[in-house]
Amino acid sequence: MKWIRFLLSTSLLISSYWILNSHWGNLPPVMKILDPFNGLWVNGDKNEKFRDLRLDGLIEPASVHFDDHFIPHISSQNESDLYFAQGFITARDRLWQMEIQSRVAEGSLSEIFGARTIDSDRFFIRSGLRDAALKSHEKMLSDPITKQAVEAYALGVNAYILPLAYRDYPPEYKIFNLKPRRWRSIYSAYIVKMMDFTLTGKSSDAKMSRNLTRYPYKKLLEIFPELPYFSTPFEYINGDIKKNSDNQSDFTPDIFSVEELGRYVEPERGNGSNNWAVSGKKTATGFPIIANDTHLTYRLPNLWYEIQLTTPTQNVYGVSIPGTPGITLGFNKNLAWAVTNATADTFDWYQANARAGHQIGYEIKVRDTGVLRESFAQTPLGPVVYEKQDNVFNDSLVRGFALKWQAQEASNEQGVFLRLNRATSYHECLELLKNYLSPSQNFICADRFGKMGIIHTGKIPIKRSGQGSYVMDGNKTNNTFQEFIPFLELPRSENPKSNFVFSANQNPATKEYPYYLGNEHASNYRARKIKENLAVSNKITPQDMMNLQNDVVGILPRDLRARVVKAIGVSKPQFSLALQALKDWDYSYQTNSIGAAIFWTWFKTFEEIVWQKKLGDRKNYEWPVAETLAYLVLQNPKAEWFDALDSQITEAFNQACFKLLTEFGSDIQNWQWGKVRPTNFPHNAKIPGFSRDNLNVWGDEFTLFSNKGNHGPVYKAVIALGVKPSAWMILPGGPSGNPFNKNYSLNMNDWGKGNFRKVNYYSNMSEVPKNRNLKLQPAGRK
Amino acid sequence: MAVLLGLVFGFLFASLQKALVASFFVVFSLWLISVMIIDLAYGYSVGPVLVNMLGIKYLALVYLISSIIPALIAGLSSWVSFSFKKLF
Repeated sequence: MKWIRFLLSTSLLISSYWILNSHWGNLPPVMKILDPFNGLWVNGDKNEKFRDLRLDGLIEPASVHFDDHFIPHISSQNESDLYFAQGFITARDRLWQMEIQSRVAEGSLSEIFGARTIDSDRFFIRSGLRDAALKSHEKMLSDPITKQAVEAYALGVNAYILPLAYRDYPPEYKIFNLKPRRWRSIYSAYIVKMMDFTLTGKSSDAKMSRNLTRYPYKKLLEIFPELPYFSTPFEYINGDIKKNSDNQSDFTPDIFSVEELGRYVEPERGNGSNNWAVSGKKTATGFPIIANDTHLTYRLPNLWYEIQLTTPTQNVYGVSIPGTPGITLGFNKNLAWAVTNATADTFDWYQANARAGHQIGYEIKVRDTGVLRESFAQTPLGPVVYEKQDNVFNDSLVRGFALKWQAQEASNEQGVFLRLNRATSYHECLELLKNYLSPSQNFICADRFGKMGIIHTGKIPIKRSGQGSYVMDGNKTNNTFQEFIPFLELPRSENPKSNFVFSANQNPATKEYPYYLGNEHASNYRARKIKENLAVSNKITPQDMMNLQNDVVGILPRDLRARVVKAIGVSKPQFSLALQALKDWDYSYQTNSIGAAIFWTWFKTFEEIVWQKKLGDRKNYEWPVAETLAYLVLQNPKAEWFDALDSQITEAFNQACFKLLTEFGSDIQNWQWGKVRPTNFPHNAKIPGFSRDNLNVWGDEFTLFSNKGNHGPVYKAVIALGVKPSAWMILPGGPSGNPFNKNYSLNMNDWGKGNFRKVNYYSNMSEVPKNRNLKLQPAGRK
Repeated sequence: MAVLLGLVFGFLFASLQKALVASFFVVFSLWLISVMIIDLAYGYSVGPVLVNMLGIKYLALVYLISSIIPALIAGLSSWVSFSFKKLF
């Protein structure tokens, strides 16, 4: 009996110990993470110890100063040590984020998350993005500057990772029971390609093809015009490019069943940005001012990592993408640059015979399950991402969808950014951008000597109007693209007469511009607002530019409100207060605005009433952009797209009020914008408690502070060039990616209120304060 | 560590009538105190986040939960050392 008791207790202990120290589905290893000496409790907010660190791989001493906002300022004697230190410091703050981002494009998320991420991995492998990163990595290594940067960066990351014990792991590794993987320079290439996916990986081709099953192509042009109804083009310097007659042949899309494309993994559809620059002729100081805010999906930690990098040959400040060396957006002593997504259509689907090309096998490692072995066809059109057996006539025919995407090509954008960090003039910037292929961006460069311009960059295929907006027949040779718009014929504006350049993801083309750039551009409300403001502004100060970035006045309601109020006329008595609030509204999307909440809910409901019936559900059918609907309401109220416009406007209003009443109660004072459309910042692995939800933040997707609740300006910067540049920036979320660190959600409140932070740009080492310095020493030195 | 503590206390308390219970409470108390001191040392930056993560209303409950599980393991290991001692 005694023996039985002993054996029973021992086996119970061993099994309990094993169960509680293992990872079960979504459940973390409970005992490990609750260990007060090694688990999550030691991931707390430590007081920073500023001391000397001896690191293998460093050539000469380097130092890192952390300013009052915990932003690292790295100084080193050479470029190799600079990127080494950048890798080390970034890994210290953002290791988990770097690993996740690199794994997405690599198609290896399932190795750590299990079966739930197989679809994502499958897409990134089959779409060719993983292979593109491998080819791009080779290209990066063939360029001495990029090779030095990515290899030194990897050494720095590993100098941080290798000595880590379990207790030092970032909390996410403990929760998912993982070990950080050794960093390789290829991971930087994955992250660069991941950004390409974020900015160019959206496509409405499948939905447009479904639209085509309901209306003829010519009819659809009314609601998907080749050029937007409200145009805000660049002031071209290259406006005399002649139309090429070869490009003018009519394009008529084919009708397909595209149901398989519904499974497509898609980035946020509104990924865009604002940028503008004003010349010294319009500023108070006589030097140019440049402004940039990038609109991306809200995540914690922030996608960007703010940092200053200094060596004897460069001194650059701005934001980097964790996992990549150098600064992506920012400024140096002479030059500042800013980007927005060009939104050119470089992502095209073809229907193809999935057996037409050779088969490529691939493996997906799935945690707790094993290895998944699959294959796909690589056709001349591109890889077949989705396929379906078609048994109607021929068993051997497999209908598939091949993807042609600019991101599939080998490229070295990182090399462009690394050189831009050291560039000294607008013309140098322009030369560098000739090598920039993807993602297509609107680059603004301005130098302190007075030159500035905007360039619609990237390798953009030459298409016939409308081509590429629908899934195309891969058997027709004239559906493929062989040529690209020459760099000097891309939309570009340099030192225009207006003395300002700007972009906000609008179509930059005029009617005369000879090339078709696609029709997936954003509504031009933000572009109009920038243009309206800058056109009448003079003696501009940085504060004026910050105020403009914080502008939350909507042009869409300004255009539509009178027409809407007139149509509603007499509302149901219970909604008369709402109608009055709409009439009294100043078009401003302030957090406490009732009019904003009513207008927004009305507009969304109105879109549903009109397009749900005429096109179909939004998940499967493409709906026109907001400005097209607004144009039809104002300019073509008798269009066939409306059944009875006034009645539909009124119906939408009553439905909107009813929705608000149901959700927020009968007291109209509770119908406030910040509550009706809350703002959420989820953690990048969606771990509850690591997110910041239900924030009360102003702005709408069409205002300059472009806040969609889940998406918006995650980097805001105003840079005033001069003898010494000055800059103001704000990023929601701090440098630290550790959810237990107080800096994790730093700046969130200030960002939400439109505040900025003056940047500490140290011109030289003597300006760097002596306190809060981390000294990095080569391991061999004493 | 909970296992080790449980084995030690189980052995030490073997002569007591309620050895397992005593061992459980000793480890529970040690764990609770450790967790609270460590969270205090880190400026209470972990506990409140875990409150949100676990969807629990009170910080004290987070401390209790994170101490009970190791204490249960310690109780089990006490039983092992206790029954081992009884063999001889």
